[in-house]
Amino acid sequence: MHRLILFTFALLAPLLAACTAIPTQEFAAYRASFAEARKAGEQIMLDAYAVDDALTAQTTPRKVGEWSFKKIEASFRVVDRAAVRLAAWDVVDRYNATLASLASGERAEALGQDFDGLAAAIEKFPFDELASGVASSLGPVGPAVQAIKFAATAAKREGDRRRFVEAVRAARPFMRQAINLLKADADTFYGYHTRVHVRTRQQLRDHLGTLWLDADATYSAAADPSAAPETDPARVEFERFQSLGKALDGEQLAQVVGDLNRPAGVAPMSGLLLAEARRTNDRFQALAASFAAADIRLAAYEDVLTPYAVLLLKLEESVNALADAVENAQPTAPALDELTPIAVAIRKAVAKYEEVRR
Amino acid sequence: MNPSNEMSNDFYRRAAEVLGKIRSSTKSSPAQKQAAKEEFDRLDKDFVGWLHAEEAKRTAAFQEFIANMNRVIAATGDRSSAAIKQLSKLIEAATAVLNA
Repeated sequence: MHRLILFTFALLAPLLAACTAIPTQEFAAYRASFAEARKAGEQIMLDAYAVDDALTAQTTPRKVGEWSFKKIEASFRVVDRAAVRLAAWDVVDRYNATLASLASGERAEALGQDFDGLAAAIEKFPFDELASGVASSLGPVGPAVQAIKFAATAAKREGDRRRFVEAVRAARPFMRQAINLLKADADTFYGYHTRVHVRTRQQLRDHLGTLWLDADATYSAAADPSAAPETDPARVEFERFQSLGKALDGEQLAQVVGDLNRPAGVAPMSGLLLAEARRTNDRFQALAASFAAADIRLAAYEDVLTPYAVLLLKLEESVNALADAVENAQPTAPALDELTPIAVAIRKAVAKYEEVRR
Repeated sequence: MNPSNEMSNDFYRRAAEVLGKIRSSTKSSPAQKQAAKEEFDRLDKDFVGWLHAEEAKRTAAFQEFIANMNRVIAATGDRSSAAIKQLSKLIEAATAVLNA
């Protein structure tokens, strides 16, 4: 029994020296930052890949007649980029849960329950059937196991705090690496949306080129070669569209407005030319609206990415704050409420032991 | 152009804009417009190829990260609880045998 008590004190020795401090505030802030960043990050990633997949399908025509098993196998072996990233978020979530369980003392409680099970099993063990008088010579086994339980759970609590510190320390470079990967991913996600924007603008520019050709043909046909250029309604109208087109080219889209009033001195447009001018004007305006809509779509996406970037920066800050807090934490004296039950249990075990010996 | 060295979102956008202006300009000949279109298709292909290649490198890095974090998690585990459970089971089994 003396050995048991010595063992109990040996278990308690590190705990009695000093307790490892867990920076609970920094840990809570880090977990909150992570939860927010994950929620936004997963959504943004899945959206970006949907955009990329759709555009890739659209721009990569299916080739018929080139099927081979090797090609199927090669595409089968391609790592799913989205699944890997979801797994990366998930592993951090499991790491956080592990840290939380270390910090909360729940593992120590579970260990205590295991000791209760052990004590119950020992109590039922038929020592006397094995050899007469063994139980009485062993003394009160239950209280002794209880004493070990208190000491072991306290030691475990301290061990878990140290594991928390070691885990944060070990994960720090990996977490930093992952955040850098997420930052670079955000640029790629923007790249996919940039591609959609740029390709839309290319198409609109082609429409603009076609509109120029149409306008040129229309007004050339309607021009009166005998009239002075500044009084010929067809040529004046063409000049006006040319200036609108330049404005569009220079992205001053606000200048693209319909103004079919003729300047003084210009002959009124014929009914046919006026109808054509209105039609061309409408096409210019629709094109200008499409250019603006493409910009609005990209701007809206930027408005999604910007807060996400801020969340990543906050996550980075919180990871660093937690790691710094762990490095700088001062050992604290063990809390009295943790030690009292241990001391009481040991005293009870010793008292029982003395009683049996007498 | 070597896409991996020079490509970026900004480069792609600026180059595409220049080519787009050639495509819509009244001063461009049809041949120039066609050449600008073909050049844009090349640029676009290079750009998406670059995005995918950079992303694939990061996918591999994420896999490495997952393995590293799994090791960190595994290192926090301990066997004390399992050992006590095992001991309890052993005693229970022995009790059952002795009481039989």
